[in-house]
Amino acid sequence: MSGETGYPGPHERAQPSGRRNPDGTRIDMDETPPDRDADERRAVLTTVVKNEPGVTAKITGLFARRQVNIERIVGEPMGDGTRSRITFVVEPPHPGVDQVKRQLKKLLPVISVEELDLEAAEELTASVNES
Amino acid sequence: MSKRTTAPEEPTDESPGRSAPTGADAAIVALEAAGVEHAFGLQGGAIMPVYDALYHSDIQHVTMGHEQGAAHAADAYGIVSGDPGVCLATSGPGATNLVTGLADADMDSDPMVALTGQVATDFLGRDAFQETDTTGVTMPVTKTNYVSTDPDTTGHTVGEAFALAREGRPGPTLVDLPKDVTKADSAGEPVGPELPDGFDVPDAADGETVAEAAEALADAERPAILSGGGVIKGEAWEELRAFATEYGVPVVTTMPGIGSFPEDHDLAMEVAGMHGTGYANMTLQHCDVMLALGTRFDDRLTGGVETFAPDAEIVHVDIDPAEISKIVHADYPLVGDAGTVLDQLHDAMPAAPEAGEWRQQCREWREEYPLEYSASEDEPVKPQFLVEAMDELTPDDTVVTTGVGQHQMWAMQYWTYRHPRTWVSSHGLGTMGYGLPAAIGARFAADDDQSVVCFDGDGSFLMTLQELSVAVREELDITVVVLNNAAVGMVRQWQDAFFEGRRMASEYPWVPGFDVLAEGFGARGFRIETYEEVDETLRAAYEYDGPAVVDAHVDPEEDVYPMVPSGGDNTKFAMNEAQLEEL
Repeated sequence: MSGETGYPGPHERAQPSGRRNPDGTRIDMDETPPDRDADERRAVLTTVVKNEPGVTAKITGLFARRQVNIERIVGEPMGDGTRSRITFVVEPPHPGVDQVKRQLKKLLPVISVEELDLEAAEELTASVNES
Repeated sequence: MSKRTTAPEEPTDESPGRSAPTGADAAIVALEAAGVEHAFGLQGGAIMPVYDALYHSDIQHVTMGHEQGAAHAADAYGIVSGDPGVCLATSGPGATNLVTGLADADMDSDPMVALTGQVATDFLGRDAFQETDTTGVTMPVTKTNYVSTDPDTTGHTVGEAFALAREGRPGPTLVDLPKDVTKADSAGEPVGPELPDGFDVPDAADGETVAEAAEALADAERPAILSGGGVIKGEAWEELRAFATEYGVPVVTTMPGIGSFPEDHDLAMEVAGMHGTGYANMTLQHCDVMLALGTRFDDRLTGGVETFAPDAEIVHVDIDPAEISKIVHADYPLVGDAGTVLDQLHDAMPAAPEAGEWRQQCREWREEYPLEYSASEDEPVKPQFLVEAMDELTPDDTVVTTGVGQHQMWAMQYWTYRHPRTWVSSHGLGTMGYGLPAAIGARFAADDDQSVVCFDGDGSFLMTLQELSVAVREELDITVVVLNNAAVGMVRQWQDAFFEGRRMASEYPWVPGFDVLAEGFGARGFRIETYEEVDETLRAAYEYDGPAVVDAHVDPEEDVYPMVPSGGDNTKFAMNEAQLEEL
């Protein structure tokens, strides 16, 4: 007890009524909480990058640091060879694919990041397998 | 006594020069074009051509004791000046010694440029003497890094590294300079710092979201502002004060946000988080709309995310889109410059929130959970008392640097910060040993009439105290107050709280006499053991025109409160040991 010092104790204080999910969203107390596993999903990200040494390391290093599992990688030069397209099938943990996209965009050699639907990824890898 | 044994040779027209500029010259000219006045570093084989180019430059080079010190000095220089601090190191161990400082700057988004020497390109990748894959090693701890392989573009690359370090969300950048590149002739034209093509930094936030956020803030019954380091980096403190005072919103800061709002203001609730004030934590925890400015919601701030400000709608303003909803979901994401977005919000506010009762509640919390400690003449000196006494003695614009640990928390809690860029500390990385080299960097960046005080712990001070030689050599007027409790005090406190008092490797059976050590370095040394000695000794140390070290023997059993255990609920901070036991 903290009566002798006069500070209300940790359990004697007014408490906020709400709660957040582990990913920091407020839980609406009137609704059933959403299934958190539902948005842990695979995603296909296709990047256009400057074709320079170390660019793949920069991207895969970012994925490793941020605990993004890479399921598949396909890379190929574009046009005159100053750019490349690298496509990844990834499984990002919370806070999810949007966070991964934003982090990717911060890498200097990354020119653009786009999310494809999963079928597009199948086609892409199929074409690589055939060739 | 004379501190400088040899006067630096003034470059003259007769100095040996080179006919054509080299890659190294291009690097230095790029720094000059960026307005760089100081650089911190150490010589070494692969960086020698760059130092040779510095010989002819007006940039004042400060030779540090260790590359880690150079990085921290540059980091602090960047914090105090707002412009990137520059550090130099050679290849191999020189570069790896920078890594802690780079990581520190990266975590705290401090602007900094590192130039490292590298083995000649022919040797790269062949395990040459003092070769390290510097860009590989520093990739995760820099905003971006480069290897310059063409002397014609070296200047451009260094200029770009400088521009990027400061633009948008600041951070450390590094340019690795192979020795053959810096020695070779350079045909590159001198250029100023230029951002790469297509590098786009948001300024104003989306107008529609601004309007919605302003409405939420105006409708709030319990609004609060959480002001982070981004408010200082973005120089938005005037806009913050205008917004907070016009709309009557209490202001809590993060640790890096210290100084963004004057702590003696009626609306100031000071710092929140693990060792923040009870009233700051109560304010954040109970608010219904939080305007979070330039903060990345570090876990030392939020405690457990599930219990962090659980009733609050979050308006998150950040220049880095990747911070939005990374830790705490943003109900109103506003990507942009802190000052610009604050102006947008200010203009968009339909009315002031009706928050009179709430403000009164916040004031009551301030009364209910004051920062306090007990001091008794017959006990060892309390560290908090020394922080307060030093604050009393020094002007309001004094720059405070710290190491990491208990002393850092007391320096944060018991000093009243009133101005931006006066708090210089290691937040995200928590780098012990940061304080002294940071004081050196801060001294060069601060105004001549500004004082620089470093609070350090005995453990922290021991990690980088070789930099005292630099302070003496450069005749720097800094006052170091070592709150000496003969322990790694924060670890000792955690052992007592969470490891049943097993004080493994946290107490020092013997520590050096820091006052005697200081004299050995050529600085002035002082010692405090009793309350009676405090005022006079601190004054003498402060008034000494040069580096002074006060070895202040403090109560080794004193702990830092308030405290929220790691991952805990910020409403349930412990005000003392008894309350900690209730958790």
